[in-house]
Amino acid sequence: MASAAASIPCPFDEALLSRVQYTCSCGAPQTLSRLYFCRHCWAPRCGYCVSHEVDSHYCPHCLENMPSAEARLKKNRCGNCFDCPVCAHNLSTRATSTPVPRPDDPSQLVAKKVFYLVCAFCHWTSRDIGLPDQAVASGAWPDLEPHQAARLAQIQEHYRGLAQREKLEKESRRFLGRKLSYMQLSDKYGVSSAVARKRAGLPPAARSQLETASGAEAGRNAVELAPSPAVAIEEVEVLPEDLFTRPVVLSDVMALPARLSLLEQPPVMARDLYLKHKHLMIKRSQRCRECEHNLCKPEYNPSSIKFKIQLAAFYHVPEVVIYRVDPVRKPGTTVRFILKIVNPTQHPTQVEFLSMGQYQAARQSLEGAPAGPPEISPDKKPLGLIRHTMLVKAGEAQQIVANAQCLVPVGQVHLPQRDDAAEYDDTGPDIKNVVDDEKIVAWRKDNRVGVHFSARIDSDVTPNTPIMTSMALKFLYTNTISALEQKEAQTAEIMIPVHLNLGPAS
Amino acid sequence: MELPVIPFNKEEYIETASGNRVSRQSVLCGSQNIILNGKNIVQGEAIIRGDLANVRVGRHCIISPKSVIRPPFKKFSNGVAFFPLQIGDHVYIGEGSIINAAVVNSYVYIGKNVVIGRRSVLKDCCMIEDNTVVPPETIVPTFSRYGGSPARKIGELPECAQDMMMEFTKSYYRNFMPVKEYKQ
Repeated sequence: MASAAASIPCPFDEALLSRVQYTCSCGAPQTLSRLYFCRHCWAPRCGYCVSHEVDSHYCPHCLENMPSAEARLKKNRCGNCFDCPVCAHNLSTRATSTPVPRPDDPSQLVAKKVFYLVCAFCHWTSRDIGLPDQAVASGAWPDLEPHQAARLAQIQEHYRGLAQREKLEKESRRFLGRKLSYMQLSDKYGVSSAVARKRAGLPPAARSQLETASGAEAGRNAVELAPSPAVAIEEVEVLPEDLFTRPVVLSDVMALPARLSLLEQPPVMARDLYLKHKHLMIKRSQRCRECEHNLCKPEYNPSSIKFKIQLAAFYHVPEVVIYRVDPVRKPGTTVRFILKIVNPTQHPTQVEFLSMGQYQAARQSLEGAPAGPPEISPDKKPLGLIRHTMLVKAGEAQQIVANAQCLVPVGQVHLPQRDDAAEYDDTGPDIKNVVDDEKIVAWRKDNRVGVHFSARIDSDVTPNTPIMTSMALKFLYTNTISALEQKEAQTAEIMIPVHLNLGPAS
Repeated sequence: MELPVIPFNKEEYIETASGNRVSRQSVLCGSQNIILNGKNIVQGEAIIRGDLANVRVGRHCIISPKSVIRPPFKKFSNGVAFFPLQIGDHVYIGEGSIINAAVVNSYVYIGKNVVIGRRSVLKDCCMIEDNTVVPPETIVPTFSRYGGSPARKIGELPECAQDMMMEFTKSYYRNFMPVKEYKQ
């Protein structure tokens, strides 16, 4: 029993998942779980082809949401939760009682509840550095003042001023350009520039002058804010007398990670340690860089795992799993293998397999006559919210070089839709009287089908090198979003190249 | 990912009406305090300490051999008290792991030889790598991957982790095949 359980693969093991890699529209190979599928562009998108946006900040310990302005103010750290400065585990609050003199009768002692922080892993406590216990459980711990805080604030202020001035300059330049264009307009139609401005709904020129004047003032202010230049210290502190004679207690000297984790005042010795506010975490949403539609938007609540928008490829693109491979994989021979294809969608689909040559040919004919998704109506054109709408093609280094030629089965395979009740239903799904070709289909169950494949391994493959083969998956995709508007489901054939690692050569 | 067939000795396991498969070699202390909600697998030499406090396990959970599920305790001035332990649906607990958590939510993967410290909370869709020590009173947020000693966040899970975990536990249950003549 123990021996059987030892070989259970982890579902999130990247090495295992990356045995099947899909090609993103940028050309980079990626596992299915890390891909998105844009249903507006009808193309797969990887992490590099989406823009990541911060949705919300939250503390991973108290799971409290924080608005982004507050998060910036608190330097992306939680106000109430602390990390241990030694081992980076979170500190927990311990309550204890201490005898204190009674306020009305100082000669008598009463028990008072006090709190201190302790690390449950390394047993470091806030008492170790001499921090007095607090009367309230949270929120009363004094913060460490950063080294040279005043000067840092001054410099920050200075740069903020500079940035402000730069922004104003840019804006005034844009204003100038606009003015020029309306001057031309006025010349053409013989109306004064003031009238042209009014017509365009722009504020009168006098106000803009006022604005630029105030801008210049702000600019002057910024210059005045320039911090005093750094001054070298004349007198350097003398090293302590016993520097060379005092024995070094290495257990008191802090390791580099602990020093770097506390940037306000890096602790050199154990007594310099201080409470470390916990870093916030973020919830991210992903947006397609091509059409700027949201591909993934999590719910606001930090402990929720639901999504308002979820266009992960896992839910839209048939999953390819290496089901079984011949154990003997000799160079120059043909290896047979079975792939399991799973349809994750609520619509039945047809799957076809293309060799890379067929895929390139199909691709070229498609490019000659563009069809399919780019029929976005003008009002649905990119929203223009993000400036970087460019998709960058993946480099040569990321390409997978196949060392086995995939011999794909010819013909279509029907895949029924996913049915969550299938495990309680013995009759099986309606496959619409499709008769499977036994040469292609190895087995079939619910929305899963096993398909026979083979690949000819190159004769120059050395033993133990992984055998890589590539094919393209062509499937019928049913677009549900357009079904809402056009009353009938829109379907399209999508082609995605898939790279398979069949294991080491023998 | 395709799971291999996981054979088990038909004589060794008891199957309940709700589909739980519990090994006779497992140790269930205080069985009146243990609730298994269905289609769970409790493998040989696993220990569930229902005698300390209530243990509730959701559906489609896998409790691997030699793992220990033990409700957490809290020290008070006048002794200790044990708190109930709750495990959600589609949770995998690896071989030899010790679970002292207060709550393990749904779709959680816990690797081999893991120690989950007392009163920890594992939120939905998180993963604890093999040989990790999660210190007491840790909160593991959603979609995070924890590893090391003490455990810290070392990665993220994909957005589809929920369905990956569901598929994993369901196919584990499907592939958990009875064999008449079981060879060790």
